[in-house]
Amino acid sequence: MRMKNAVRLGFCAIVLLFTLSPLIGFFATTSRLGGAEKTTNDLWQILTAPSTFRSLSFTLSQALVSSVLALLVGIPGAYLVAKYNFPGRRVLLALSAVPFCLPPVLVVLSFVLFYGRTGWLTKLLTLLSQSLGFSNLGSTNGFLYGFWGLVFIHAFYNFPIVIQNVGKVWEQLPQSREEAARTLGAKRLEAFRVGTLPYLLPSILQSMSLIFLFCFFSFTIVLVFGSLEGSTLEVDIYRALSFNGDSQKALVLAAIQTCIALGIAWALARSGQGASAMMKDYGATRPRKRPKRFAVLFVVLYSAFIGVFFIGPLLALTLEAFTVTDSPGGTPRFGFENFVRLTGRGYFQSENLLGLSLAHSLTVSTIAALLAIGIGLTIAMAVRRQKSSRFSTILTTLPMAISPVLTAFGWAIISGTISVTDRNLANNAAMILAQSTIAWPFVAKSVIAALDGLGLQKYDAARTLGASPLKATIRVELGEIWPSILSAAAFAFSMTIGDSNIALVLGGGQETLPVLIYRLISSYRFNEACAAGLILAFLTGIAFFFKEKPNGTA
Amino acid sequence: MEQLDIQDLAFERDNFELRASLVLERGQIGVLLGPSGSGKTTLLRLIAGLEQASSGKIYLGGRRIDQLPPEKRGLSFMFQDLALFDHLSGWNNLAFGLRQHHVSEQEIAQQTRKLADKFQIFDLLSKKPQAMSGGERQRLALARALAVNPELLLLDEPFSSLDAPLRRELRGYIRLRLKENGTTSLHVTHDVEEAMDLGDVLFLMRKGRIVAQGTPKEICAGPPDAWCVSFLGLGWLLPADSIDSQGQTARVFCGKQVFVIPKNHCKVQKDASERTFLFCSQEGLALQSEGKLHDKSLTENLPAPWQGNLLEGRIQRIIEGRNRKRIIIDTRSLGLTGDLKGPDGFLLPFELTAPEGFCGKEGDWIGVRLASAQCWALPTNA
Repeated sequence: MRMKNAVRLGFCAIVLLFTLSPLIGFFATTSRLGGAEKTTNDLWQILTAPSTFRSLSFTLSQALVSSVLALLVGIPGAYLVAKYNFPGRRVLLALSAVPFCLPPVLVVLSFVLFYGRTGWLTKLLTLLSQSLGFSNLGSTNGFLYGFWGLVFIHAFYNFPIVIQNVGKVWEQLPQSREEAARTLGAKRLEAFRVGTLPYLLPSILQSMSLIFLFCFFSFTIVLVFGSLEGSTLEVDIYRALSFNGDSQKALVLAAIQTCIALGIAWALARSGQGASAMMKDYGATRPRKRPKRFAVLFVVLYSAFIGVFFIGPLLALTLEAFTVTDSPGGTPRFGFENFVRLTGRGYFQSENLLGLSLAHSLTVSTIAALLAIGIGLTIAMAVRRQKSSRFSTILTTLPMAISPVLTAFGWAIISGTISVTDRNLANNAAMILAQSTIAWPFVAKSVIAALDGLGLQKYDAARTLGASPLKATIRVELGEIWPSILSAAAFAFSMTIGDSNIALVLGGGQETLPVLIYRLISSYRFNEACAAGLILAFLTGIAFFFKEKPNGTA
Repeated sequence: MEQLDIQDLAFERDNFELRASLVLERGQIGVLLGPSGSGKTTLLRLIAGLEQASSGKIYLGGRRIDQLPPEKRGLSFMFQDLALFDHLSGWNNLAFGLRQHHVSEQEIAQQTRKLADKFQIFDLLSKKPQAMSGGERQRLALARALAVNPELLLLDEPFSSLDAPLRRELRGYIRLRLKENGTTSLHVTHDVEEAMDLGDVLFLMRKGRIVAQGTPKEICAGPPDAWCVSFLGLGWLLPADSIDSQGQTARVFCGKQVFVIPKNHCKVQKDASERTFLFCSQEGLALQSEGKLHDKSLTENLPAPWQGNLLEGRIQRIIEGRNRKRIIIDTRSLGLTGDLKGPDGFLLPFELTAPEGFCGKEGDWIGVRLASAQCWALPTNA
């Protein structure tokens, strides 16, 4: 048994080393770049520079405001999915895959199309004001390109996490504590404060820290929308290394970023444990009701709000993909020309950009996803019989504290050292390794949750019926949780194929589909970007299709 | 004096319908007893104001409360999961209700100490509920519910998650405390032993209706129908084929057997379409020796009440008890005809306590006499 535990722990240590190696590679290399060792004085000067402070305060403030705003949008939704049965409830829950699977580059594109100066919302407001006979009701006036635009996008990109996490706990929470408070003399609000809020708090904190972490590492969105008012540490590290060659600054910023991210990851792990403890404590709960009177109004208003502000941009993206203008300023019409042009049969270019980038994306992402599934699945099996869940929580949360940009640079450094002759091969290897580093913790978390739900009884039953440990695991346990594994695999694929951060950082070589979209946006070819985006959305949509159903089927 | 008076309370949800009227005297412990889904908890929640009744009136201490919110009804509720506030210490849990009633902190401290002393929970005051044992949590929850001095205490199966010895101990403890305080209470359970042990008055519920009410003794002495007999485990039920009245007696035909009972023990309507049963209470059963089964001297000179009404069957199992043996008779060997299922849909059980010195063994045939005075003819559902 000790031997088995040692093997398990050894494997976990190797995976941890694999995950941390790009970070180690990054720090080790950047501290030696520039031909001279850094002095403490140099580093202190960068640390105390106003630009560092500006970058840090912008990163923290946008992440904090974004996560609070996401909570404000998500908590009413969490209440609705926890308490009521209504058409669209499952759609709201399925949206929780959006922050993980919808590529940031598509978010950028769809929000520009919807909220931009000449976006769909402005068009809608103009149309509304004309039909009502008012003077112009207003326009979005390009609010996207600033601090509030950035936090708005972050909040709308991440609020489904709140619906999923808080809603799940809220649904399982019995009403008896709130009711006990009422029968002891408390009014509604006081009863909620003492009977419900303390039990929801861990899941609220968990959601908040997860969203904070995502916004803290936000790269593509900040690159496009936040640059006028400031930029995050993640973007500044990228700029320092890619454009300014300032490895000292990158080193200092990366150190600050990693320390803070570790702190948030610790808070995330703690609140996550608290949230799952809240869910384990209770048995039967009251079934969800059909909404009546005020609840119907609440459901309708919330659905309309989400429909306009969240689904609206995605709808705009779809419509723009099929919108064709034959000449600048001409009347738009529907057609497939945007797709055709991307295949090299249009008049802009002769190269089949779409085909090449799609093939490259599929190859790289499939390998990266397979690697992530392999690591995630093995880690889940290795940690599952640990008495304390703390170890598995640390193991799966720690990688989330590592910046995708640093991971990309780190793997580029390592793969460049290994394969110095073939730059393309080194680049692809770095991309695969970096993407799998980001994706495997999500696979492991999903499989661990499924195994926890399954319990050990079925495994033990198989053993007592004569199955070997391997057979009991493969035939019984994996057989039982295959919907979760399928869902995790789809999730990993969506994450890797939709990744634009790592692909943009590494640059060079054959471009991926998200990088193609980014390039099309940069050259104002929005409709073609939408066409490519629609294909990417279809591929990442696989995660939605395989998202686990409540009864455990895929 | 009436403390709780429920008049024609009605409630509907999905396919469930509840109709109830009941009266509870001051200081009485009432017990709502019934199987799962009979509406016991719903009735309790309606009284507490946690569900809204569609019609009917509820009076508590002469005051109409059915239109008031839960916090203004002047009652306490002890939940199945106890609903202790896990983030608050024992002290703050205890003081919560008093704070809601704007009692001064000085008085809260005084009352909390007094309660802690009375309920022997002084050591728990600084602990959080999760650090307490099952029994400690129960005592804290009861003390919290009684801290606000409620006019009525509602208890929703608070012992259901405990093991049998602790359940028995707490039952006695709660009854003692309620009687000491003179608190009127209504307790929900599906455990017959618990109901008999705890209740001054029982309200037997089935499918959203109160089908029988009275003291445990009254209910056991005159069950209204076979379902009540089966649910409470009061004695034997034999499916009756027909009933024939003659003078002061009635003859009940069960398969090949005929049983004579007093005519006024026949509670079956003449034109009843439901199945009817012959019920004999446990006290009315006597073992009759047959052949060389065991010492004849034990049963051969039976007193008059046990003359006639003989039923023969084979011993399926003998369970060795601590004091007495229990005999299980094979239902199919009794010579009964037709449907051998009881009103609850399960195969009718035939079990009796063996007399001292009983030496029969499994597979033996025995005779059981049913005392006429303890037999009733009952419908399935009254």
